[in-house]
Amino acid sequence: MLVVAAPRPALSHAVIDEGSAAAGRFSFVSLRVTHGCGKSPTREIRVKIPEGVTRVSAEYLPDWDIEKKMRKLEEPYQDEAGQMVTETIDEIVWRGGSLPDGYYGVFQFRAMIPDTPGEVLWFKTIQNCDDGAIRWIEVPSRPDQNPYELKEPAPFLRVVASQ
Amino acid sequence: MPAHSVRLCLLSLCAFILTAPQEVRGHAQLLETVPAANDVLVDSPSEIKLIFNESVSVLSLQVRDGGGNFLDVGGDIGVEENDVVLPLTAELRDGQYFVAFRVLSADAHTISESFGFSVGAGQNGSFGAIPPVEPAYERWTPWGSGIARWLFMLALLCSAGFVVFRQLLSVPAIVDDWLAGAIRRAASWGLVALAAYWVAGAFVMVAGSAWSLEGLFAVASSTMGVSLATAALGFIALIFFPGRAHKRWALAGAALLIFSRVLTGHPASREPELVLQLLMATHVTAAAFWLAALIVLLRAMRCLSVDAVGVLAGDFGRIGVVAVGIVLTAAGIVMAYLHVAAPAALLTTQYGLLLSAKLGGVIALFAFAAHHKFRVTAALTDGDAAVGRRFQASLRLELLVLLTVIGVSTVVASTPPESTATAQTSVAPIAPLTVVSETGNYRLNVELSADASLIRLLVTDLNGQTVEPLEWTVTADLQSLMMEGIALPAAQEEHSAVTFENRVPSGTNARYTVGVLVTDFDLERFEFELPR
Repeated sequence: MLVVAAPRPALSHAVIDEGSAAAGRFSFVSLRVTHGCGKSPTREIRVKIPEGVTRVSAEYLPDWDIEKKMRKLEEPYQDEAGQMVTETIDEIVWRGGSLPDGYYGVFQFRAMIPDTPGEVLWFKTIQNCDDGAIRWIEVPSRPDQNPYELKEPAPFLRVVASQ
Repeated sequence: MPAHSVRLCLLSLCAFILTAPQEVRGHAQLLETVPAANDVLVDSPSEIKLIFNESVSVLSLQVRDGGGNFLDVGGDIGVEENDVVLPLTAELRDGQYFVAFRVLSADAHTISESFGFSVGAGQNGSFGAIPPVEPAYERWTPWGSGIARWLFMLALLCSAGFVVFRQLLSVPAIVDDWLAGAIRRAASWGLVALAAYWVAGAFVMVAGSAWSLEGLFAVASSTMGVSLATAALGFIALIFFPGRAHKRWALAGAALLIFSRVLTGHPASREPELVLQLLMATHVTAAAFWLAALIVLLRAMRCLSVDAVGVLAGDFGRIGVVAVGIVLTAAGIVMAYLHVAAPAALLTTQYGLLLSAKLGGVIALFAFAAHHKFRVTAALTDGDAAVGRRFQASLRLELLVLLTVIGVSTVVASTPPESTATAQTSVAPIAPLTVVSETGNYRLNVELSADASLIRLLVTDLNGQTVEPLEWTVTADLQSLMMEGIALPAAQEEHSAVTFENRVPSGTNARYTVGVLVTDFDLERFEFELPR
């Protein structure tokens, strides 16, 4: 599967540093934004959480306000405390801060990775700047297509079997 | 090598080339396909058939599945008169399929198209992105071919033009001696440019950027090959017989060069053929004479006195009024009338726009000619050195404009005029057209206005509900212009649809890519080809 073998871009795309995560386990997901919109600083990061990724908790960044948008779960589940969980985070928004162009920023969250080894999870991201925006939302239309051939590919994480 | 042996060789080659059986001339056009475009078949077809209006050479023929994957299901491609048949060696399962092909017509024009069909009663006949025809060449190759063609034409016009000039005008001996050398040099470079044009043309016509002999043979066996061979004979004759002592052979060489231009291209593929060929021959001869005259006059400025140049310029002016002002213009206007369906096409078709640009250049040249004839020649004849210097500068500028007009002419020659009503293709439906997005979650409805001047796009979900996109991006790949990613003007009429002007010239392939932002995070892409 080409996504596994795709070489990492040289600091030009938004990427997930971990690259892969163990199936059925909690994992940190570090979204790294490597530049602004041209020279314009980044003011807002919106990350869409893909289906199957649950129990999301975002990292607190002092200079940024964090908003969590929820969606209903198709299959509610019971957590460790016995509580029924009926909804999950659908989108995380970091806003209010300022990430100048020429610097990278890491926006981290923790989530339960679905137990689907081999799957590629696409974390579509919208980067809003003072002047313009970049939508890292393109996903390959064919399994053999290298995502980095796309102009603005979505950051991705591949699910690997747990040890 | 003795002159009489050279003459014998040339005569023999002439006879061979001009009497050898030739293929039917003309632009090949696809008339019908089996299965037809967008057909929904109950069972797998046993073959794919392409029916043209004339015999073609097949460069590539591919069958792909709905995902764009190449399928190795074809046997040996057969050509039966005007039909291309690809027998299928395996049954096609239910699903969508695409056929992409590139063929070479007898006049060395390449036709590349693709169409889709479905197998299985449950298919709805609509398609997603049509896989592009395999890339034919690197981006530089058409430019290389165009430059080679331009240089070839320049050498041809110079070679023939010098001979015609010497025949029509009485020139001083010093200029005459220079002319003999110039004819030989131009003819020599003409052979080199001809070879480069042949090779570059082979790259353009055959799929793939890798070297292949297939393209060379394909070009050589077409009417273009006959034309190039005739031109080569003309160049050889002028290399061996450039001087006034062999005037008849030089004239024959020039005649072969002119004749080579009417053996292929538009004069040889449209009606009335003989009239167009005669007009083209006249037009090219007059243009060659004009080009040669400018070069000879510039040369004369360096070796003759100002008053002698004035006499020569005056003689050219008198003949030029007839040769250029009347003959070239009249021939050009009549050809334009026969090629262009209506005056409006001069501004609405690619061919017409190029012709208009050429006309603009010719008008500028006439302005130069009038200025020289009515305001400069008399002063030159009086020996005014200052006028002589200005005349030299003006000649250089006029020559530059003429070279540009010749460049535009070479592009015009390779651009199909607006197709006539008698030639129709049934490859794709006129309108409406429905395309499924790459993800398969949305449909794009493409509508063409009755006069094909407007294109309207509307997106629906799989339930048929109209979607209101946040953003539209429409680009077109105009293959004939070798340009990609042209953003077309969009006039959004409604929230859910976008309508824009169809600027694709008739007879041109255009592949559209539409990006639709249906939600903040969902970008759907569609691809479709606009039917001719």
